[in-house]
Amino acid sequence: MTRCEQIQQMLIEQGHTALSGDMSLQQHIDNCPECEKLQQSLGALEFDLNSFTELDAPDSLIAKTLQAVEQSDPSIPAASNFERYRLRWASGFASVFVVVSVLGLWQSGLREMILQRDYLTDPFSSTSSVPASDDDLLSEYEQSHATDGNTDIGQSREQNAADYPDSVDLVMQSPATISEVVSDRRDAEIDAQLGANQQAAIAESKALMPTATQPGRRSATTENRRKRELDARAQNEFGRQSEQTAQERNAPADSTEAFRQYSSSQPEPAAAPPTLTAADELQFAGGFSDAEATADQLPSLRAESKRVDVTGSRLSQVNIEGAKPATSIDRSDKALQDIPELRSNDKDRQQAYKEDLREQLPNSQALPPDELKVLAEHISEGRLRTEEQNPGDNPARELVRVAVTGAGPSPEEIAEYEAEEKRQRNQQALDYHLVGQSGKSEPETIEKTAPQKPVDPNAEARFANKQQHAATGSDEADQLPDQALREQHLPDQAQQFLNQLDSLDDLTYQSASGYWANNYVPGDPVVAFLQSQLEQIKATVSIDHAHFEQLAQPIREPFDIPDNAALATYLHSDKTHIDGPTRLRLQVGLQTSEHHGGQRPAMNVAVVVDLHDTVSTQFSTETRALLNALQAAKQTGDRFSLTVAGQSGGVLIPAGQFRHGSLAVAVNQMFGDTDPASTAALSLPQAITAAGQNLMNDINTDNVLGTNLILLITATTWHEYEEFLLLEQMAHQNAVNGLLLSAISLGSKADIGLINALVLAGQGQRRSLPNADAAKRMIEEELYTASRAVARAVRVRIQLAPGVKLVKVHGSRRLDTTQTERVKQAENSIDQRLSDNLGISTDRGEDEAGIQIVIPTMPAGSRHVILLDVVAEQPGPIADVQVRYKDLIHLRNSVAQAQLNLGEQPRNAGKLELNVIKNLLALQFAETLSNASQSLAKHDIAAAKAQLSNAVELLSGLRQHVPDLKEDAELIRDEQLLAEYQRVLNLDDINKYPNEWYLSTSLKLAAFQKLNVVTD
Amino acid sequence: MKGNNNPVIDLAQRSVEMEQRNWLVRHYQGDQSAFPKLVQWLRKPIYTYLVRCGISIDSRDDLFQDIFLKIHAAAASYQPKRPLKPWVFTIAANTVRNHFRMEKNRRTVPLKQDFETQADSSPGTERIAVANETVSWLEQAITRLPLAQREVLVLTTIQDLQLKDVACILKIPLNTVKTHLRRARLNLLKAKAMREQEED
Repeated sequence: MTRCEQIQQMLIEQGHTALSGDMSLQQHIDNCPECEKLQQSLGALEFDLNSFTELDAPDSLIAKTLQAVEQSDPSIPAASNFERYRLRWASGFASVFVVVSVLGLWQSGLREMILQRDYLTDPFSSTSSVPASDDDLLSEYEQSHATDGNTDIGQSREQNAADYPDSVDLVMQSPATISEVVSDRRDAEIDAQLGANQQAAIAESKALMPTATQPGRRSATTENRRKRELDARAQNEFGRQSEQTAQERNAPADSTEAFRQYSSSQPEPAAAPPTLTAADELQFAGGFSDAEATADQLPSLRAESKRVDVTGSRLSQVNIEGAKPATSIDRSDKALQDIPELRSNDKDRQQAYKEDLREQLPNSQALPPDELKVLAEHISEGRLRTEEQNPGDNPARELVRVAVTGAGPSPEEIAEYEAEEKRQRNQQALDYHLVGQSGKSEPETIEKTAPQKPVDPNAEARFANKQQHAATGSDEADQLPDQALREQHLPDQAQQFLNQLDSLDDLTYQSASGYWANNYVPGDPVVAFLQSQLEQIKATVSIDHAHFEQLAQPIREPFDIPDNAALATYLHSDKTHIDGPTRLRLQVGLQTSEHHGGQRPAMNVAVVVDLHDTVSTQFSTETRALLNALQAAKQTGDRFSLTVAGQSGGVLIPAGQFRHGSLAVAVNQMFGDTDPASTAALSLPQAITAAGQNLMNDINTDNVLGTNLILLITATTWHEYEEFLLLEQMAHQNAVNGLLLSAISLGSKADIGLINALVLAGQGQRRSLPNADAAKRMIEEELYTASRAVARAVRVRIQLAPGVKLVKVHGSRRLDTTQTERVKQAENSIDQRLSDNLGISTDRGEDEAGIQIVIPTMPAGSRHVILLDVVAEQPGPIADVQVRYKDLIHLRNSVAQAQLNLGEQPRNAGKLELNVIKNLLALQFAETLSNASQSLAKHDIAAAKAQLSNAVELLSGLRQHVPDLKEDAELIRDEQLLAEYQRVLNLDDINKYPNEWYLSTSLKLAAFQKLNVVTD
Repeated sequence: MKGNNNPVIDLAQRSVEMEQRNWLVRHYQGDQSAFPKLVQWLRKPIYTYLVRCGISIDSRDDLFQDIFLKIHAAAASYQPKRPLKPWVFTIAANTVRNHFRMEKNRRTVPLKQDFETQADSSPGTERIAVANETVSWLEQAITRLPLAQREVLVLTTIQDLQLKDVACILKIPLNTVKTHLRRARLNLLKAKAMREQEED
C-alpha cells in the first residue's frame, strides 16, 4: 500500500479533519492533488451532512403517542432485572427438578421392570385408554368406589385395591408409559407402608396447593395420587374418619351422594370444627377439582357455593345445614397450618389452643362488618387473598376464629353486613348520580333554589331521598354523616359545575331539525403555530420553561375502531337513568378505521401564494421551504403549478413545468429584486380563479376525489370581509366542481378563524407551519391526504325522541337557508363524483328528519365528538343516530347507527358515560385556561391566579366526589398542569414582559391542545 | 453526550443528562408528567432518525409511536446509571430493522429507482436554492445506502453519537462500525462525483 493509499484510507475512516494535527501528513496532502481532492470532497460531504436540520414530529402524532402509552396496559412494563433473574433461577430450578425426577423415575421403572416383568403382562394394563378429561377421571373414581372389590385382578393388586381402589383402577386403565405404570405401582406400595399421620400430613400439604392445578392437564398418576391423598385424609385426620370412610366406601353408586350424606350427618359445625372430610367434600365443590364432582352433584354444590358467594349472609345457613363451605374449610386448613399448636398431632394441645382462642375471642359471634366482608370475599373467591384485600388484618386469625368456635357470624351480623354492602353500593351509584343525573329534580324544588348558595339544597334533598329509597333498612343515622361529609368536602366550584349541568332554569330550546354547522376540520391543529411562538421566546424568558403545556392532552375517546367498516358511531349520555324531567348531555362519537390508503395517487395541485402584505424574511424562507418540499415530493404523474397573488402576481409556473429551474426563477421573481411595478397586480380571488382554471384545464374526471387541489399559502388577515365572503363562495364552488382547497398559514398574523371557514367551504385541510423545518413533513402529509380518506360525504343525522328537547349543540349552529343549500350542494357533488369515479351509487339529495350535519371527509384513524345538551321528560327512547357515508375502503354506501334508551332504574355508569362528563370537563378546563391566558395578556395576574385556583378546586372536587374519576389519569394530569402554572404564577419575576407573554401563550396553547377533539 | 473541556459546562450537561435519565425512572414509578417530557426531548431525534433512515411517510407515524410504546414497555429494564440516548436508539434501530425486514417481503419496485436520474441538470440560479438542492439530493442518496451503512452514518454523523455507542446500539463490533462508516462515505463520494460529472 502506497503512502497515498494509507493517507486516503485514514481520511475516509476518520474524516477530513483526522490528520490536521500531523504536520508531515498534512504536508503530503498539500503536495498530493489526489489526497487533497479527497480531503476537500470529504470536507464538503461533512459540511452537507452537518447542515441537515432536525425534523420534528407533528403534534398530532405526539398526542397520539402519549395517548397510546397511556392506553397501554400498565402491566406491560417489563419485569425488572431482579425479577427476571429470579424467574430465570426459578425456571432453572424447576427444569433441574423435572430432569432429576424423570431420571429417577426412569431408573426405578427400569429396575421395577426387570424385577417384575410379569406386571407388564397384566391384561388390564393394555386395554383401556388414558382418561381424556377430569370427567373421565371422576367417573373412574366413582366406578372405583362402586366396583370396589368386584374387580377381577391379581391377588397382590386386590390387596392394593382394598386400600387404594382408585389408584389400582387408574393404573389398570392408564398404561400411558411404562415408567408411569411402574411408578404408580411403586407409589402404591410406598403409600401402603406410610403411617396414617404421615399420609394425612402429605394429603394436607397437597390439598393446600390445589389452585395451581389445571384439571385438564393432570396426568393420571398425579390424579391418582391426589385422590389417594384425599381418601387418606378422609380416613386419618384427627383420628375420627374411619367410620366416615367406611360410609363412603359403602355408598353403592354415587360417591357424591356419600359426601352429601356425610355433610348432612354432621349435626353442627361446632361439633366438628375443621372437619377435613367436609373439607374434602367441599374441595370438590370449591372449584379446583370440579371434575371430581358428578353432573348430579355439581349443580347443588355450585348452588351452595353461589349462595355463599352472593352475600355472606348464607354462611350461617350453610353452617347450620352442616355442610361447611368448601372454601372456608380449605382456608381453615391453611389457617390451621399457620398455627404450630394446630399443626401438631397432639390432640390435647390442639384442644387447649382452641380453648385459649375462645377465651381470647369472647365476642366472636359479633364479627365486625369489615371482617365479614373479608370473609365473604374469601368464600366467594375460593382462595386466600386477604392480604391483598385488607393487608392490616390477619386472615388466619379470623378464619381460625370461625373454625375454632365453630360458628359463623350471627344473623344480625349478616344483616348488618348486607346492609352495609348495599348502602355502600348505593352510595357509589348516588355519587355518580349526583354528577351525572342530579338534573332530574322536581320543578317546584328548582324554583326554591338560591343561585348564590354554594351547596344545592335540591341535590341534598335528592341525595337524601335516594339514600332513603335505596338503602332499605338503613336508618337515618347512616345517612346524615354522609350528607354532612358531602357538604363539607364538595367544593363550591364542583358544586356549581354540577348545578349548572343539571339546571332546568332559564333554558331556551331550539328546533332539533335542519342542517347544522360541521365543526370537524381535519389537518394540523393551531398548536403548531403557538408552539413555534413559544420556542421563539423561550430563550428570553427568565422563568422555568419546561413545556408543561405538553401535559394538556385531549380527552381520550374510548371508541372501538371498526373492523369491517370505514366508520363506527357511538351514542352515549352522561346519565344512566331518568325518573323525571332531566337535563342530560348526548355524545355522538365518530371513529374511522385505521385502514391506510397505501400509495398516494397522482396529484394535480395549484399552489397559490398570497403576497398581499409586506413580505417578511420569515415568510420568504418558509415559502421557499414549502415550494422546495413540493418539488422534492413530486412523483410521476403529479402536475403542480404556481400562482401568486399580490403586486408581482400571476401564474408563474404553469402546470407541467414545475421543475427546479423554473421554480428557482419564480422564487427569485417573488422574493428577489424584481421591480414590482413591472408585473401586474393580482388579487387573491383573481389568483384563485386563475389557479382553478389552470387546474380545470388538466383535470381528469376519473381522478379520485381530493387529488385536484388548490393549496393556499398565506400569512395575511383579510381586512375586507366582502373579499373573504367572495373567497368562501369561490372555495365552495370549486369544491362542488371537484377542486378542493387547503390552506397553510404562516407567521403570527394569519387569522385562524377565517382560514378555518375557508377550508370548511373548500373541503380541504387546514395547516399551520411552525417553522421552515416542518415544511417537508407538511407537504408530504398534504399530498397523502387523498389516500388517507376512508369516509366521504359523512351525513350525521341525530333524531331526538318525542319529549326530548334540544338546548344546544356544542360548537355548532343551525344553518340558514343559503348555508344549507351550500352544504347540500357540496354533499351532492361528492355523491355524484364518487359515483362517477368509484362506482358508488348515488344516494343523497333528500332531507331527513332531525339534526343533520355533513362532514365532507374523514381520514383514517380520526375521531370526532358532537355534544348535545338536551332535556328529557321521561324514561324511554332518547335519541337515534344514523350516519350515512361513502365507504372508500369497501367502495360502497354504508350506514352506522346507534340508539339511546334510558330507563327508570339506576345502573352503573360505564367508561363511555364517564367520558361524556370528561369531555364536558375538558370544555370547562380549556375555557379556564383560555380565560387565564387572556387575563395574563391584560397583565391581570391576580385574575389569572383566581381562575386557575377555581379550576383546581373544580377538578379536585369532582375527583374527590366521583369515585370513578378519583384515580382518573387524565384529570390528575390536568391538576398537575394547573399546579405547575400556579407555581410559575407565584414567582417574583412573572410580571416582567417576556415571562408574562410566554406564560399567556403557554396557557393558550394548553387550552387548544385540550380541545383538540371537542371544540366549542 | 460528548465531554466538554469546560468543567462547568460539562457539569451542567451531566446534570441535564441525569435529569433526562430520571424521566424514564419517574415514569416507571408512576409520575404522569415524566413521559411527556421524555417524548418532548426525543421527538426530534427519533423522527429525524426515521426520516433519514428512509422510512416512508406511510409507516413513519406508526414506527414513531411503536418506538415510544417500546420505551414505555421496557422502562423497567432501563438502568439509570447508563446513558439514556443510546438505550433509546437501540430500540429505535431495532424497530427500523424489523420494519425493513418485514417490508422486504412485500416490496414493490419504485418508479424512480436511481437518484442519478432524478438529478436536475438545471444550473443553479441562486446559492440558497443550490444548497437546498444539494442537501435534498444528499438526503435521497443516504436513503439509498444499504441499511447497515445508513444507520451507522445517521447515528454517527447526524445524531452525533460516538462510535462505541453506535456499536452498542447496533450490537456490532466497533471495527464493523468503522467499516460501514467508511463504505458509506465512499459510496456518497462516488455518487456525488457522478452527479457532478453529469452536471458538467
